Amino acid sequence: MSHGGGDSWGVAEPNLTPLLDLVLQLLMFFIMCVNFVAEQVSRDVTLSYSDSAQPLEKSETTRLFLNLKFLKNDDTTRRWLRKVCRDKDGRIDQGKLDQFMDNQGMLRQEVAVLVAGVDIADYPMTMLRTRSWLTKNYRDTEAKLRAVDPNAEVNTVVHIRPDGDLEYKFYYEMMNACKVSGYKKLKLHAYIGGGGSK
Amino acid sequence: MSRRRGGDGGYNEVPLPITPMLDMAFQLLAFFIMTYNPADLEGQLDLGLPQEAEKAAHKQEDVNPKSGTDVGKDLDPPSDLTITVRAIQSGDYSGNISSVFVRNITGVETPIKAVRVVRKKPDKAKELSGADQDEMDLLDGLDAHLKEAKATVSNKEALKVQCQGKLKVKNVLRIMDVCRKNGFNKISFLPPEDFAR
Repeated sequence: MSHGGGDSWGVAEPNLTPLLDLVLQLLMFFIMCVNFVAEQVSRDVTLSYSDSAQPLEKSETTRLFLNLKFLKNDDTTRRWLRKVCRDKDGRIDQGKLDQFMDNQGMLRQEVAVLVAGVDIADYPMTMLRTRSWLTKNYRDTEAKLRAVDPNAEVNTVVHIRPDGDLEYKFYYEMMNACKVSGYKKLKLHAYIGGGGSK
Repeated sequence: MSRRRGGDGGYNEVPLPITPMLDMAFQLLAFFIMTYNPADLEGQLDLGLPQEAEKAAHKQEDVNPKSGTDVGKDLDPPSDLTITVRAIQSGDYSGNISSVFVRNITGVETPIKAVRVVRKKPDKAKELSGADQDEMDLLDGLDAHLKEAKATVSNKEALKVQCQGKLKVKNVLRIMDVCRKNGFNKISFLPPEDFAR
């Protein structure tokens, strides 16, 4: 506060408008950033980098995200499986867990598929189960659309988000499963940039 | 500040309590700054549908980018070139690129030679290991080969890629980057040699 002249104390009136402008702009920025992160994608998957990746299109109406997580034979993976294979009450679902790991902690699968973008239980599926699920989902979607318009086609775009360390055979298997199920549009996700060297 | 007309026709100042609003704004700001964890920007690449192995080689008459106008053909474009990528099968560098071959429409397969490109600025901060440098040299060799081959192929947009099952996806993306850099934007994948159908 500044000291007023004479014997009395003057009332200092700091100009709050620029400060408020700045604060609200920063607030707006962070709120918007939070919205971008809130995609229906999994953060459990570590994507690789690509120089030629294009920014995501927001115009697609129906999207299906297939997150392909590479299951490394380590304790972090085992902990992650125990965390995600749980029932509604938060207890470990042994049936789900057994698909990926035996009682001794040995992994039975090399890949876990997390499906997002549709109403489905949020636990990982095996490749085999995903394949049959994709076929069923395609047929159900087609039936729903054809009930309204007999000539309607399924326009769902399948977005594949593979771990960078995933082997090509699993990635190809998943693409092939999508094709066999009937999906015609596939997209591969990667982080933009990195000079192709990360 | 808003003013209200007084009884005598003048204006009385109505104080707007700004302190609670500022408190709230700063608290929100602090929350967002503390929880802000910027992820790398995610992007996407268009993919052609995967193909069967027997479709790898096409006849010359099939190679016409204007031949098909329907959606199916657009997704499964004919191509002159097929890139075969082999992977290191074991050890610390398992899943890295070991060798690359390019097969043209006549079936002649050319092994890609490593090319050392001296870059002014390294692409990444840390030094490349020997295996990473070898991989980078192979990719530069592929880049040089595709630049040369592009002049002779009739379909300058589509090509096929066949990788060994062990190859890591991050390396598949590096191959795709080189192809796209040379204008081959319609990339379709062939099954790995050991793929069980």
